[in-house]
Amino acid sequence: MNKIFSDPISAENPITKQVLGVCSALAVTVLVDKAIIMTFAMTFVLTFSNITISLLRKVIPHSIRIIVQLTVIATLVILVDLFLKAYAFEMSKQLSVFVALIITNCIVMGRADAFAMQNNVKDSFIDGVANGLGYGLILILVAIFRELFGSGTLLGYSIFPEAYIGNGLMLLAPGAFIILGLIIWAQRSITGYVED
Amino acid sequence: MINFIKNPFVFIGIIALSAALILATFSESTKTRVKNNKDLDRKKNVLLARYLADQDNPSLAKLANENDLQTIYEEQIEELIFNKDAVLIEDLPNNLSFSDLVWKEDSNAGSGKEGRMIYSFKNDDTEYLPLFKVKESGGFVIPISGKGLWSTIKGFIYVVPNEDSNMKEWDYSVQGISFYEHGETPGLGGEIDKYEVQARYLNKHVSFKNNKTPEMTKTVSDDSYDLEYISGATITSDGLDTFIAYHILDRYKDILSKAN
Repeated sequence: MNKIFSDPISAENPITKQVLGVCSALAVTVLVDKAIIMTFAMTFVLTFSNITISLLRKVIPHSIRIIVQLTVIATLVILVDLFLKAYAFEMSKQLSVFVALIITNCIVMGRADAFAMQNNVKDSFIDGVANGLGYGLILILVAIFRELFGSGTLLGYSIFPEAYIGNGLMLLAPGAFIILGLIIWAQRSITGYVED
Repeated sequence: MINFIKNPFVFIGIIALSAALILATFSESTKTRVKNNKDLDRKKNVLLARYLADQDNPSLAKLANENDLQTIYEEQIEELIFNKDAVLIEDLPNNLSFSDLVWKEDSNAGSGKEGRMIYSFKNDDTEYLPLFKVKESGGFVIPISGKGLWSTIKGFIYVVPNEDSNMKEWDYSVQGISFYEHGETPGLGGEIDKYEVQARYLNKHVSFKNNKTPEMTKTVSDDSYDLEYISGATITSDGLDTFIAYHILDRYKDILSKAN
């Protein structure tokens, strides 16, 4: 059980090890607060899709399992989207399209098909939470670098002196690519993981 | 029984039906809240445009509070709706209200003008021209919308009539601008959210005689109309120029020139 929780957060991280979900890691990491909300949204969807799929795993006809998984995931994503629109309107305005795109995030479907289909509800729940947090950890890490060097702020508070001119590259997707690459490099040089 | 459920068609039917049921219930239960949020957001942005030139105004800090926002809005703003021929409409059709108005792409815009935006009701393509009169100044907050680089930008521009009858070179002066929806690149076109960029519009003029509205340029030659463009966001800047000119000089011209 411990391994199910700790692996996705460290060595088996969905972004740095499996290089999944990179699209949103590039898109919503300009500001830290966006990355945090995105982490919550993603963790919610991952956890509940894992639970639902795990509950249904014995009755889902094998031939249509992908369709069923997609329906469940899409439903959850729309729920999150509606919830943000109703209770965090400002945030939903900034995030809306990226929240909707969680549907196509490979991590969610990857976990549903590769883990929840074979494991019991408790393990699937832990796996969902852990993968959501592992994803969020990298997201927030990238966002910290981008907001700090791109705008000179953290969570909207000025960190660097007034005279600091934001680095425009950090605000664009290539800046996120470079930081993400550096994080993956750092992690792999520690774990010693080499792609086959 | 279990075999019946395991039939792929039956199974996906059950899943789809339950998903639809959950979503419909949730969407219905949050509907009024979401509409209310949108309405508040619109009111807030009208006021943000109205107070742009007046950053020290104590009302500005109160806008975060829902009740204060409502009070200030009612004190400051009178909502008006005109039809396409610049005639004020007293009664809206079918119990529709001001907040039911939505931006739509103009289907009659013709080629080369795709993405031109007009205001109308959801199920009806008749064009309406909503206007927010600022009671204190006699100026107007005009809704504006159009294409930037990636997205349709939506916002408001606040114009105040020229009181000096000897100087009729221009008719209105811009006293504020705000944007409440766009998907422009953060840090480049997205800078339209920032005060530094919005403040460039202050005290720029609108002239119906010369057919001129504020315009973003690389070199400011005429201080009355030109303002500096946003570096790295040429297409966003050009988009702003185009749709501000379109809304003021085309759609709202008759109403604005009658009011002055």
